[in-house]
Amino acid sequence: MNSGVRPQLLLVDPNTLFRRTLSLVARELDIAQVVEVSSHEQAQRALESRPIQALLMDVDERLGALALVQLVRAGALPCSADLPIALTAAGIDTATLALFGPLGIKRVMLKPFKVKTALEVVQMLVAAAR
Amino acid sequence: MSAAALPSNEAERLQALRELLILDTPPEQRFDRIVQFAAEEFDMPVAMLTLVDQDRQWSKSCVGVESCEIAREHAFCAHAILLPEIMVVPDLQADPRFHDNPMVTDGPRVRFYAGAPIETQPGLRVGTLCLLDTQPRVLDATERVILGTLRDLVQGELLGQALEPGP
Repeated sequence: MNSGVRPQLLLVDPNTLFRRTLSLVARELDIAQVVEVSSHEQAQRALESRPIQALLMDVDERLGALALVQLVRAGALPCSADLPIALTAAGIDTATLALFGPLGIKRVMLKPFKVKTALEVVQMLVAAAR
Repeated sequence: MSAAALPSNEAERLQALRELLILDTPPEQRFDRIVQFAAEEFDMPVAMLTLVDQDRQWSKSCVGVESCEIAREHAFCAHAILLPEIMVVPDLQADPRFHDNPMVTDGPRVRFYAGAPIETQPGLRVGTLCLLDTQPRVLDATERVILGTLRDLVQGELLGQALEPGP
Protein backbone atom coordinates (compact mmCIF):
# COMPACT_ATOMS: atom_id res chain seq x y z
CA MET A 1 0.00 0.00 0.00
CA ASN A 2 1.40 3.43 -0.76
CA SER A 3 0.85 6.45 1.41
CA GLY A 4 -1.55 7.94 -1.13
CA VAL A 5 -4.23 5.38 -0.28
CA ARG A 6 -3.71 5.07 3.45
CA PRO A 7 -7.06 5.47 5.21
CA GLN A 8 -7.48 8.49 7.43
CA LEU A 9 -8.21 7.67 11.06
CA LEU A 10 -9.23 10.39 13.49
CA LEU A 11 -7.60 10.03 16.92
CA VAL A 12 -9.16 12.04 19.72
CA ASP A 13 -7.15 11.98 22.94
CA PRO A 14 -5.93 14.64 25.38
CA ASN A 15 -2.53 12.96 25.87
CA THR A 16 -0.15 14.55 23.37
CA LEU A 17 2.62 11.99 23.83
CA PHE A 18 0.25 9.08 23.26
CA ARG A 19 -1.27 10.75 20.20
CA ARG A 20 2.09 11.57 18.64
CA THR A 21 3.50 8.12 19.28
CA LEU A 22 0.50 6.24 17.88
CA SER A 23 0.29 8.57 14.89
CA LEU A 24 3.98 8.24 13.98
CA VAL A 25 4.05 4.47 14.47
CA ALA A 26 0.91 4.00 12.33
CA ARG A 27 2.54 6.09 9.61
CA GLU A 28 5.86 4.26 9.85
CA LEU A 29 4.11 0.90 9.54
CA ASP A 30 1.92 2.26 6.72
CA ILE A 31 -1.27 1.32 8.56
CA ALA A 32 -3.15 4.59 8.50
CA GLN A 33 -2.82 8.33 8.25
CA VAL A 34 -3.73 9.47 11.73
CA VAL A 35 -5.37 12.86 12.14
CA GLU A 36 -4.77 13.96 15.73
CA VAL A 37 -6.95 16.20 17.85
CA SER A 38 -7.24 16.72 21.59
CA SER A 39 -10.91 17.65 22.00
CA HIS A 40 -14.35 16.66 20.75
CA GLU A 41 -14.88 20.12 19.29
CA GLN A 42 -11.75 19.73 17.18
CA ALA A 43 -12.88 16.22 16.29
CA GLN A 44 -16.17 17.51 14.92
CA ARG A 45 -14.35 20.08 12.80
CA ALA A 46 -12.05 17.36 11.45
CA LEU A 47 -15.03 15.15 10.62
CA GLU A 48 -16.65 18.07 8.80
CA SER A 49 -13.57 18.93 6.75
CA ARG A 50 -11.54 15.77 6.12
CA PRO A 51 -12.30 12.38 4.56
CA ILE A 52 -12.14 10.48 7.85
CA GLN A 53 -12.69 6.72 7.51
CA ALA A 54 -12.35 5.53 11.13
CA LEU A 55 -12.49 7.03 14.60
CA LEU A 56 -10.63 6.19 17.83
CA MET A 57 -11.89 8.50 20.57
CA ASP A 58 -11.34 9.12 24.26
CA VAL A 59 -14.69 9.37 26.06
CA ASP A 60 -13.68 10.60 29.47
CA GLU A 61 -15.67 13.74 28.69
CA ARG A 62 -18.66 11.52 28.12
CA LEU A 63 -21.29 13.92 26.79
CA GLY A 64 -19.12 15.47 24.10
CA ALA A 65 -18.13 12.04 22.82
CA LEU A 66 -21.69 10.74 22.92
CA ALA A 67 -23.03 13.75 21.02
CA LEU A 68 -20.36 13.34 18.36
CA VAL A 69 -21.05 9.62 17.85
CA GLN A 70 -24.77 10.37 17.63
CA LEU A 71 -24.10 13.00 14.95
CA VAL A 72 -22.05 10.50 12.96
CA ARG A 73 -24.67 7.77 13.21
CA ALA A 74 -27.43 10.22 12.27
CA GLY A 75 -25.61 11.00 9.04
CA ALA A 76 -25.26 14.63 10.06
CA LEU A 77 -21.57 14.81 9.15
CA PRO A 78 -19.82 14.30 5.79
CA CYS A 79 -18.28 10.98 6.91
CA SER A 80 -20.07 7.66 6.52
CA ALA A 81 -22.80 7.05 9.10
CA ASP A 82 -21.31 3.57 9.41
CA LEU A 83 -17.87 4.94 10.36
CA PRO A 84 -15.96 2.27 12.35
CA ILE A 85 -15.57 3.65 15.88
CA ALA A 86 -13.64 2.47 18.94
CA LEU A 87 -13.52 4.25 22.29
CA THR A 88 -10.93 4.67 25.00
CA ALA A 89 -11.61 5.56 28.62
CA ALA A 90 -9.91 5.70 32.00
CA GLY A 91 -13.01 4.00 33.34
CA ILE A 92 -16.50 3.41 32.06
CA ASP A 93 -19.64 2.55 34.00
CA THR A 94 -22.56 0.45 32.87
CA ALA A 95 -24.77 3.51 32.41
CA THR A 96 -22.29 5.03 29.97
CA LEU A 97 -21.86 1.73 28.18
CA ALA A 98 -25.64 1.57 27.83
CA LEU A 99 -25.62 4.98 26.15
CA PHE A 100 -22.99 3.93 23.62
CA GLY A 101 -24.28 0.38 23.24
CA PRO A 102 -26.83 1.04 20.46
CA LEU A 103 -24.34 3.16 18.49
CA GLY A 104 -22.33 0.35 16.93
CA ILE A 105 -19.07 0.80 18.84
CA LYS A 106 -16.53 -1.82 17.76
CA ARG A 107 -14.42 -1.82 20.90
CA VAL A 108 -13.88 -0.02 24.21
CA MET A 109 -10.28 0.09 25.48
CA LEU A 110 -9.72 0.83 29.16
CA LYS A 111 -6.65 2.86 30.13
CA PRO A 112 -3.86 2.25 30.69
CA PHE A 113 -3.20 0.37 27.49
CA LYS A 114 -0.14 0.09 25.32
CA VAL A 115 0.54 1.79 22.01
CA LYS A 116 0.92 -1.69 20.58
CA THR A 117 -2.62 -2.56 21.68
CA ALA A 118 -3.99 0.68 20.29
CA LEU A 119 -2.24 -0.08 17.03
CA GLU A 120 -4.09 -3.39 16.79
CA VAL A 121 -7.36 -1.53 17.25
CA VAL A 122 -6.36 0.99 14.58
CA GLN A 123 -5.70 -1.92 12.21
CA MET A 124 -9.10 -3.42 13.03
CA LEU A 125 -10.88 -0.10 12.42
CA VAL A 126 -9.04 0.48 9.15
CA ALA A 127 -9.89 -3.03 7.96
CA ALA A 128 -13.54 -2.42 8.82
CA ALA A 129 -13.48 0.83 6.86
CA ARG A 130 -12.46 -0.84 3.60
CA MET B 1 34.32 -7.83 28.48
CA SER B 2 35.04 -5.80 25.38
CA ALA B 3 34.84 -2.05 25.77
CA ALA B 4 33.20 -0.38 22.81
CA ALA B 5 35.38 0.98 20.04
CA LEU B 6 35.42 4.75 19.66
CA PRO B 7 33.34 6.06 16.76
CA SER B 8 35.50 7.24 13.87
CA ASN B 9 34.05 10.74 14.33
CA GLU B 10 34.52 10.77 18.13
CA ALA B 11 35.92 14.31 18.41
CA GLU B 12 33.14 15.72 16.27
CA ARG B 13 30.59 13.62 18.19
CA LEU B 14 31.78 14.94 21.55
CA GLN B 15 31.67 18.47 20.24
CA ALA B 16 28.07 17.95 19.11
CA LEU B 17 27.20 16.49 22.53
CA ARG B 18 28.70 19.45 24.39
CA GLU B 19 26.99 21.95 22.13
CA LEU B 20 23.66 20.57 23.34
CA LEU B 21 24.49 22.17 26.73
CA ILE B 22 22.67 19.37 28.49
CA LEU B 23 25.34 17.40 30.36
CA ASP B 24 24.95 17.59 34.15
CA THR B 25 21.73 19.62 33.94
CA PRO B 26 18.77 18.83 36.23
CA PRO B 27 15.96 16.47 35.19
CA GLU B 28 13.35 17.94 32.84
CA GLN B 29 9.74 16.90 32.56
CA ARG B 30 9.81 16.97 28.75
CA PHE B 31 12.32 14.11 28.75
CA ASP B 32 11.09 12.33 31.89
CA ARG B 33 7.60 11.83 30.47
CA ILE B 34 8.93 10.12 27.34
CA VAL B 35 11.27 7.87 29.33
CA GLN B 36 8.45 6.99 31.75
CA PHE B 37 6.16 6.30 28.79
CA ALA B 38 8.78 3.96 27.31
CA ALA B 39 9.19 2.05 30.59
CA GLU B 40 5.42 1.56 30.81
CA GLU B 41 4.93 0.70 27.14
CA PHE B 42 7.50 -2.09 27.29
CA ASP B 43 6.96 -3.16 30.94
CA MET B 44 10.64 -2.53 31.60
CA PRO B 45 11.99 -1.95 35.11
CA VAL B 46 14.60 0.46 33.76
CA ALA B 47 14.45 3.04 30.96
CA MET B 48 16.94 5.84 30.42
CA LEU B 49 17.89 8.73 28.21
CA THR B 50 21.66 8.38 28.16
CA LEU B 51 24.43 10.56 26.77
CA VAL B 52 27.82 9.03 26.07
CA ASP B 53 30.50 11.48 27.17
CA GLN B 54 34.27 11.11 26.76
CA ASP B 55 34.81 8.80 29.75
CA ARG B 56 31.34 8.26 31.14
CA GLN B 57 27.71 7.59 30.36
CA TRP B 58 25.44 10.17 31.97
CA SER B 59 21.66 9.90 32.10
CA LYS B 60 19.51 12.95 31.59
CA SER B 61 16.45 10.98 32.59
CA CYS B 62 16.05 7.58 34.20
CA VAL B 63 13.30 5.34 35.50
CA GLY B 64 14.13 2.49 37.85
CA VAL B 65 17.72 3.42 38.74
CA GLU B 66 19.19 5.98 41.10
CA SER B 67 22.71 6.35 39.74
CA CYS B 68 22.81 8.49 36.62
CA GLU B 69 26.47 7.98 35.73
CA ILE B 70 28.67 4.98 34.94
CA ALA B 71 32.09 4.54 33.35
CA ARG B 72 31.95 4.50 29.56
CA GLU B 73 33.85 1.20 29.47
CA HIS B 74 30.90 -0.46 31.22
CA ALA B 75 28.19 1.25 29.19
CA PHE B 76 26.07 -0.80 26.79
CA CYS B 77 25.07 2.47 25.13
CA ALA B 78 28.70 3.07 24.12
CA HIS B 79 28.21 0.07 21.83
CA ALA B 80 24.76 1.16 20.69
CA ILE B 81 25.98 4.53 19.37
CA LEU B 82 28.36 2.81 16.95
CA LEU B 83 25.55 2.00 14.53
CA PRO B 84 22.44 3.92 13.47
CA GLU B 85 20.09 0.98 14.04
CA ILE B 86 18.46 0.01 17.33
CA MET B 87 20.73 -2.40 19.22
CA VAL B 88 18.94 -5.26 20.96
CA VAL B 89 20.78 -7.78 23.13
CA PRO B 90 18.20 -10.39 24.19
CA ASP B 91 20.49 -11.96 26.81
CA LEU B 92 23.58 -10.08 27.89
CA GLN B 93 24.91 -13.17 29.69
CA ALA B 94 25.06 -14.98 26.37
CA ASP B 95 26.79 -12.18 24.48
CA PRO B 96 30.62 -12.32 24.48
CA ARG B 97 30.79 -8.52 24.49
CA PHE B 98 28.85 -8.24 27.72
CA HIS B 99 28.79 -11.54 29.64
CA ASP B 100 31.45 -10.40 32.14
CA ASN B 101 30.36 -6.76 32.31
CA PRO B 102 29.95 -5.79 36.01
CA MET B 103 26.42 -4.57 35.23
CA VAL B 104 25.66 -8.17 34.24
CA THR B 105 27.71 -10.12 36.78
CA ASP B 106 27.20 -7.88 39.84
CA GLY B 107 24.89 -5.19 41.13
CA PRO B 108 21.83 -4.85 38.92
CA ARG B 109 22.52 -8.12 37.03
CA VAL B 110 21.04 -6.76 33.83
CA ARG B 111 20.09 -9.43 31.26
CA PHE B 112 18.32 -7.50 28.51
CA TYR B 113 19.30 -4.33 26.69
CA ALA B 114 17.72 -2.36 23.86
CA GLY B 115 19.08 1.02 22.85
CA ALA B 116 17.89 3.37 20.12
CA PRO B 117 20.72 5.74 19.19
CA ILE B 118 20.05 9.47 19.28
CA GLU B 119 21.51 11.34 16.33
CA THR B 120 21.54 15.11 16.61
CA GLN B 121 23.40 15.64 13.35
CA PRO B 122 23.93 13.18 10.50
CA GLY B 123 26.27 10.45 11.75
CA LEU B 124 26.76 12.03 15.19
CA ARG B 125 25.12 9.75 17.75
CA VAL B 126 25.34 11.29 21.20
CA GLY B 127 23.40 8.79 23.31
CA THR B 128 20.39 6.53 23.40
CA LEU B 129 16.89 5.96 24.61
CA CYS B 130 17.41 2.58 26.21
CA LEU B 131 15.52 -0.16 28.01
CA LEU B 132 16.94 -2.69 30.48
CA ASP B 133 15.51 -5.72 32.22
CA THR B 134 16.81 -8.31 34.65
CA GLN B 135 15.21 -11.03 32.51
CA PRO B 136 16.09 -12.04 28.94
CA ARG B 137 13.64 -10.45 26.50
CA VAL B 138 12.98 -9.92 22.82
CA LEU B 139 11.51 -6.97 20.94
CA ASP B 140 9.33 -7.74 17.95
CA ALA B 141 9.26 -5.61 14.81
CA THR B 142 6.37 -3.43 15.99
CA GLU B 143 8.02 -2.83 19.36
CA ARG B 144 11.21 -1.76 17.61
CA VAL B 145 9.24 0.79 15.61
CA ILE B 146 7.61 2.08 18.81
CA LEU B 147 11.01 2.40 20.53
CA GLY B 148 12.41 4.14 17.46
CA THR B 149 9.48 6.55 17.44
CA LEU B 150 9.95 7.42 21.13
CA ARG B 151 13.65 7.95 20.38
CA ASP B 152 12.66 10.32 17.56
CA LEU B 153 10.53 12.30 20.02
CA VAL B 154 13.47 12.56 22.45
CA GLN B 155 15.69 13.62 19.56
CA GLY B 156 13.17 16.28 18.59
CA GLU B 157 13.14 17.63 22.14
CA LEU B 158 16.95 17.74 22.21
CA LEU B 159 16.89 19.73 18.99
CA GLY B 160 14.20 22.08 20.26
CA GLN B 161 11.40 20.74 18.07
CA ALA B 162 7.91 20.87 19.53
CA LEU B 163 6.03 17.66 20.31
CA GLU B 164 2.79 19.04 18.93
CA PRO B 165 2.23 18.28 15.23
CA GLY B 166 1.87 21.09 12.76
CA PRO B 167 -1.55 22.22 11.53
